[in-house]
Amino acid sequence: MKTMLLLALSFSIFSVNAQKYFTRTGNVIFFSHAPMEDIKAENSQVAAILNGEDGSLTFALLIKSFEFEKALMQEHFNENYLESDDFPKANFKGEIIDFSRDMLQSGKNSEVSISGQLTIHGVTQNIETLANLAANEDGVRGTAQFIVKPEDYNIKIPKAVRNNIAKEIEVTVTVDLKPR
Amino acid sequence: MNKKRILILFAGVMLAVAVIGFYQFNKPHKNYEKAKVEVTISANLLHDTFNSDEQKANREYLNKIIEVSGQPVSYDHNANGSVTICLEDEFMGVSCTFDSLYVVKNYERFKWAQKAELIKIKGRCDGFLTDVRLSKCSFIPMTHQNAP
Repeated sequence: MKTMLLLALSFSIFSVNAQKYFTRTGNVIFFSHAPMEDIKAENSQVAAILNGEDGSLTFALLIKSFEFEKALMQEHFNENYLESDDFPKANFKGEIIDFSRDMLQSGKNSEVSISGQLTIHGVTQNIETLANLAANEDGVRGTAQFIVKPEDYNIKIPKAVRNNIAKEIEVTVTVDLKPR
Repeated sequence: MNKKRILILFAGVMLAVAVIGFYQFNKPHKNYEKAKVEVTISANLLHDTFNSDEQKANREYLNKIIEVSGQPVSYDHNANGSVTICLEDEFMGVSCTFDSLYVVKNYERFKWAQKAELIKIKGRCDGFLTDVRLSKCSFIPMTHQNAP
């Protein structure tokens, strides 16, 4: 009986460690600061998975789910720049460098580096960024901020609006990942 | 005299262009609650269609106003006040997101929808991850199950 209990216990501990952390409603905001205007858009339907075993990460989002204050900007963003009918998704596959399982222990707060491949507009680039992992009782909150250059992803911005759209777009990611 | 007339005409055209430009720039977002349904399909069939040939389904459904019917299996309040209801399966079904403003205005319907076995939702198709995503959703009024 005791060994059975021990076996059950050790199995449950093992399964906790093998956990995946997941969200379907992560948040990505991008911000463009240019001489003529500031533009902000938000997507709160981002899917993200963190493997609690090895620290590998996957993010996926739909371009059409970005919301702008101005309808016209959203239209231009989808039709002219990101061409979301042809390239509806953006995704990131990568890993937390020097990941250890106890970063996910409740109460732990870790500054980490993340590296991987970001695909936007059908173009894949290597990126690296700093991020923060804050583990709590419900799971783990991950935040990161990095720069994306439209030209790196073959996103062409016409001369007429060069002063309206920044060459470097600031991207902020916030995900509340829950174990499952 | 002739010159003056041309000048006035020119100024008028410029003014018209400026006014149209201003309204274009500030035009409101589409009202998806009032938008006409373009495709009616079951949640299972919509997911199967995307799952079997995503590119083809994208061409057929992206940006369209789709009415889906199915069983709600999860109900999530998001950080920004929006609500996401998944039909048929949380990962392999159709996820429908309702804007926070709609949620506030239709409290009773959400309360009902949490218990319903079959609901109908319309929304804009944004694409496919592992689930099909609809945004700007609203409920299609039902005539049975004591729906509000």
